[in-house]
Formats: sequence, structure tokens, C-alpha cells
Amino acid sequence: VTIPLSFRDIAIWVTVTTIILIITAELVSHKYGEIGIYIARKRLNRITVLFILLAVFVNAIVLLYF
Amino acid sequence: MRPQSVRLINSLLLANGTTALLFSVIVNSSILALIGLGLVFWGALFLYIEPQKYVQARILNSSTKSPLDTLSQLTTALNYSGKAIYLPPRYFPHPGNEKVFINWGQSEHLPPLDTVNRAEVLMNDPLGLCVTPPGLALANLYEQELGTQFMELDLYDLPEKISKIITEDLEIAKTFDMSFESNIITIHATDHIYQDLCSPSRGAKSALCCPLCSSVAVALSRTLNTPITVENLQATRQDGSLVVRYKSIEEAL
Repeated sequence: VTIPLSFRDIAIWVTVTTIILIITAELVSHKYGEIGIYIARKRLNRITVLFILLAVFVNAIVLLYF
Repeated sequence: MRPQSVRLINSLLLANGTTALLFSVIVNSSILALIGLGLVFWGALFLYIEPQKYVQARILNSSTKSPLDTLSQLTTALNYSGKAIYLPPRYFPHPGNEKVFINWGQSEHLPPLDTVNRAEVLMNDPLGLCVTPPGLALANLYEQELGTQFMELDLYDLPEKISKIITEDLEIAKTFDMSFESNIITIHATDHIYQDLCSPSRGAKSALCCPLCSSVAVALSRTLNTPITVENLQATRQDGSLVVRYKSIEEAL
């Protein structure tokens, strides 16, 4: 059983998801006064930071080895 | 949106995502795999960032109002309506259990250091009531969120740290500002969740103001390590703004 995705596909997916996460985390932050949205903002921010690191890592591998 | 609806949407996202991933393997389609990956990811993310438990502000206020009113009525009936003083940690052997001293009549006395240690509620010299402030647990929660104790904080760091906790971490108010002028500390909060509890009549006459005002007084008494009094309280219902002036006392009143 193989997933029909290459490393390059996964890198693109991670990058696009990271951009969406960054925009979402910024839009729901308290700096815009959005306190009516009931989500765990700390967790969202943690996931966003994790995905930023992941995006940098996978894109660096794509640039270096592909 | 109701929690049940959110959970249903999350489950649908996860189920559809898993199905799409399975089909992508069977039909060898990268498009389906990307769709499945996206659905599974967002489904899992929404489950993860869903807050554990949210209580509506009206339930919180309704359940807190009666005990506060009872305490207020009791102190008024027993004539403990003098100046209320938030005692700092140095008065107590164990930190985190500070009390507020409510003077009898209209007197303004500060109890001696050794008399408070005995954990008496009714005190004779000076005459007063030594009770747990309404915001003590909230102040302890601030410390828990902060990861450190207020006693270890620098006075100049306090406004920024406490503002972050109240507005961002615990979402008690929309905005929160704290300013110092000599021994007078002023806070300004807007759109806070204790609007129904915070009335100037209750706050001005004693320490039994809303948990927010009380918790800030506890935090100040811990950081400054001096007794704190609530000097003035202004609460407006229209925009939910709250302005409280505290005073730090160095010596006996």
C-alpha cells in the first residue's frame, strides 16, 4: 500500500496549510479584538509554529535534494 | 455554534478525509490523497483547538451573585462596613491564602502582623473581620497561567503580564490597562465578564466587589507586598467599562 503522493506534493501541501494557519491564527488573535470566537488560541498558535518549522524543514529538503 | 454541531462537523471532516485517503490508495489518485489529507488535518485540528469547557457569562454571574450578596448583607448587618484592606503575603505563614481585613464601623485600622496569623475570622484588636477575598482563587489562577508567583514579579512587569492573562489567556476582559502614580494604582478594563456583579455601591464600601477587582487587589498586594485598599470604583453598564483605583499602604492607617 503506497500513498500516491511524492515528497514534493507533501511539501506543497504543508506550505499551503502553513500559510492558511498563519492567516487564521492572526485573524482570530486578540489584537483584532476577536474575543467572541471560542477556540483554544494557544493551541492554534502552537500548531502554527510547529507547521512553520515543518514547512521550512520540508522545503529545505526539497531545495537541497530534489 | 453549538458544541454538538461543531463535533458533528469535525466527525464528518475526519470520516470524509479518511475515506478520501483510502480511495486515493485504491485508485492511485494524488488529488484524492491531497483532499483526504486536508480534511483529516482540519478535522483533527478543529478537535484539538476546541475549548475544553465554556460557561456562559450569565450562568457564571448568576451563580456567583448570591454568595457575594449574602456576604455583603452579612458584613453590613454586623456593621463591618469600614475600610477593607487586602493583606499582603508577609502577614501569613503560607502564601496563596491571603485574606482581606474589613474594619468594624467606619474605622480604618490595619491589623498588627502577629494577630492575623492565628487564622481568626472575627478579630478583636482591632475590631474587624478577616475573610478570604472573592478574587483569591482567580488571583491564584493568574499565577498558574503565568507560571510564576506575583511575589517574584517586578512591579514594572506586572501591568503587561496581568493584562496578557486577563485579555488573552483567560479572556476575562476585552482590554485591560494598569497604571501607577505614586502609591495609587489604577486599572481600566472594558467589556469584562463580571459586569452584572460589579456595582459601585458594593465595591466602594467594602472589599466585596466583583472577583475581577478583588483578584487584581490580591495580585497587587502580592507584588508590592503591602496592604492594598480599594479607593474608588466606577463601573458603567453601557460599554461594560470598569475603572478601579487602589491604594498601597506602607504604614498603619
